[in-house]
This record gives sequence, structure tokens and C-alpha cells, in this order.
Amino acid sequence: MNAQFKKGVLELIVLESVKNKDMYGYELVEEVSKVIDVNEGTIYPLLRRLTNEQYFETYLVESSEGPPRKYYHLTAKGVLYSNALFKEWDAFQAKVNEFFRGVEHE
Amino acid sequence: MNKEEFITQLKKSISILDDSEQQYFVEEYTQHIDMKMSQGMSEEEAVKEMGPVEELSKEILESYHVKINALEDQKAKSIDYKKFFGKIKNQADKIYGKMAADCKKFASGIKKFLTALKDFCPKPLKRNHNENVTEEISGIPENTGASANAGVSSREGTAFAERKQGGFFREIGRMIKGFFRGIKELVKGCLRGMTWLAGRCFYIALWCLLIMWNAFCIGAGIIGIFFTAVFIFLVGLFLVMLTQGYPTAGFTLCALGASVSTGSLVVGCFILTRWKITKDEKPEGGEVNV
Repeated sequence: MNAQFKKGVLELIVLESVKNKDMYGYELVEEVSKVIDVNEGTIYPLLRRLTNEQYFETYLVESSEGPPRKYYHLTAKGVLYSNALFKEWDAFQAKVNEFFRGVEHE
Repeated sequence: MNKEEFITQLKKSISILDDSEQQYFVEEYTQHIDMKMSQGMSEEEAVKEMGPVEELSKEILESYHVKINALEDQKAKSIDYKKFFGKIKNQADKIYGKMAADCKKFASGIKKFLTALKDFCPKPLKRNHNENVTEEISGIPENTGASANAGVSSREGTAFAERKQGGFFREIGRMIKGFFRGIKELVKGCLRGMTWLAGRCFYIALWCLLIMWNAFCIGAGIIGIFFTAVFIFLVGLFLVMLTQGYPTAGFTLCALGASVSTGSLVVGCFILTRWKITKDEKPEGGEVNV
């Protein structure tokens, strides 16, 4: 898939994934990989940025295997942001699809 | 690439970030790779799935709004230094190569001369030896009486002697020619080496001259500045005295003239400094750029 497409929509996918359920990095990467194929490393800069912008907050949970896991939780600010972004995406993709359908029918 | 290398490289490429931020990425990536490995993936594969370090670090830095071009500019600068030293090295190699080629030519000239000399020297000895042999051969039939074999050998002997007799002058001619050719090559090699050396020396001498000239100009300029200042001071002094009623009009004019002339001398000195030698293809063609 076009790298520019991925880049644009990755943030929304991450936000929406965490909205349903708090997740730790690895889990989130697996979740995102179901939808789009990205370099696994690229999710973490995004997570860090969203955390620094206070859309996420993190907490540690002890794990039976290995070091404690850092879970990401969507804050209230994050929920608002995510909803706004989703609306934007929805309108955008509807418009684009409409345009393509129009072109097809011509 | 194994995990440790990956982490080290990553850390190095995001070293501009705060320690806590670096720590975050190191921890998360380490944990991620560990988890992959615990699910049966090999270390190499797990690292590969993360994507290339350059891309990751770029993405990380971008998420902090770091101007990546600035970092690349810094890199480019350091590369420029490399280029600069590479240039110097190339120049040195060129000079060295030229020198080596000239030395080789010089050596081959000497070699040719020596071969010619060798050709010239031992030939008469060889000839004597051959003459002895032919004498022996022609002597055989005399001692052992007439026989068919002896007849053949004596005929061969005389033929050889004739051939030898006719070839002797040709041989000498060839030797002399070779000798002169050798000398010619030697002289050519010497000359070539000397011209090259002279060219280099000339170039270096030109540089020295240039530096001396510049030193002279700057020195004169600085002295000139001093005198100009003194004369301007004197102009002021005499002007003040003139207004006080002293008869110093002539002195004032003199000082004014002197200050103007020293001033122009200073300007002239600095204009006359030269910092470049225009270099033709060959350094011996170097000239002061006027």
C-alpha cells in the first residue's frame, strides 16, 4: 500500500484501537498489523508523540514473563481528538469515494 | 543485525533527544524484540521486522518536530572535510605518481645506457672466443688428415668466418647506435626529471616570493598606517596652532600632503597584495596573477 496513505491513517487506527481497550505496545502493533502492513518500529514514535500531547497516558502492569508492560490508555482529551479525527476521516473518505464513483460513471 | 547492534545504532542516531525520551524507545524496542523472540522468531528476523534504523530514527525525530535537514547539514559539513582531505590526498598522489613516472623514465634511460654499454664491452671478448673455436675447427682436418666430415666442417668454418667477417662492422655499428641511443635516453630522462623538479622548485619559489611580497606589502601598509595617523595628528595640531596665530600654514599643508600620500601608499600596498597563483596545466607554467 502507498506509504503516504498508511502514514495518514495510522494515527487514527492507533487511537481507535486504544479507545476500545487499553493495550501495551506489542499488542497494539499486532492489532495495527491486522489492518495495514507497517514497519513495526514506526508505531512507537507515534505512541510517544500522542503520549507527549496528552492523548494517551501510560501505566505499568507487572507481567509474569519479562519486564512490566507499559499500557496505553486514551485520555478524555484523546477521546475528543480521536472522535474529531474520525469525523474528518469519514467525511474525507466519503468525499473521495463519491468523486471516484462519479468518475467511474462518466 | 542483532538486537544489541540495533539498539546501539538507534541510540546513536537519536542521541540529540533527551535521555528520558531515548530511554523510552530503547525500553520499548527491546521489549518488543524480546516478545517477538519469545514467540519463536529469530533475533535477526525480529530486528528486521522493526524496519531500517535510519527510517525509524527519522520517524522518531520527526515526531519531535526536529528539523532533520539540520542534522543532515551537519553531516554534509563533516563530509566536506572528508572531501577536502581527499582532494589533498589526490593531489599528493598525482604528484607522487608523476614523480614515480619520471623516476621510472630516468631509470629506464640509465638501464638502456647500461645495456648499450654492456653490449659494447663484452662483445670483443666473445668474438675472440668464437675465433678460437673456428681456428680449432679449421685445425681439425689438418691434424687428422682428409676426410668427408672434415671437409664439411672446414667449409662450415670458413663460411662462419666469412659471415662473421661481414657482420663484424654491422655489429659494431649496432653497438655504437645502441650506445648513443642509451645516452640519448639517459639525457632525456635526466632532462625530464630536471624540468619537472625545476618546475616544482619554480612553483615553490613562486609561492615563497608571493608570501614575501605579501609580507612586505602588509608590513609597508602597517608602517604607512602609522605614519598616516601621525601626519593626520600633525595636521590637526598645526591647524589648531594656526588658529592660535602661529605661522604654521606651510607646516599644515605639508602635513596634509604627507598624510594623503602615506594614506594612498597604504591603499596601494594592500591593493598590491596577491594571494593567488594562476596555475596552467603544468606547474612550471605558473605565473603570478596580476
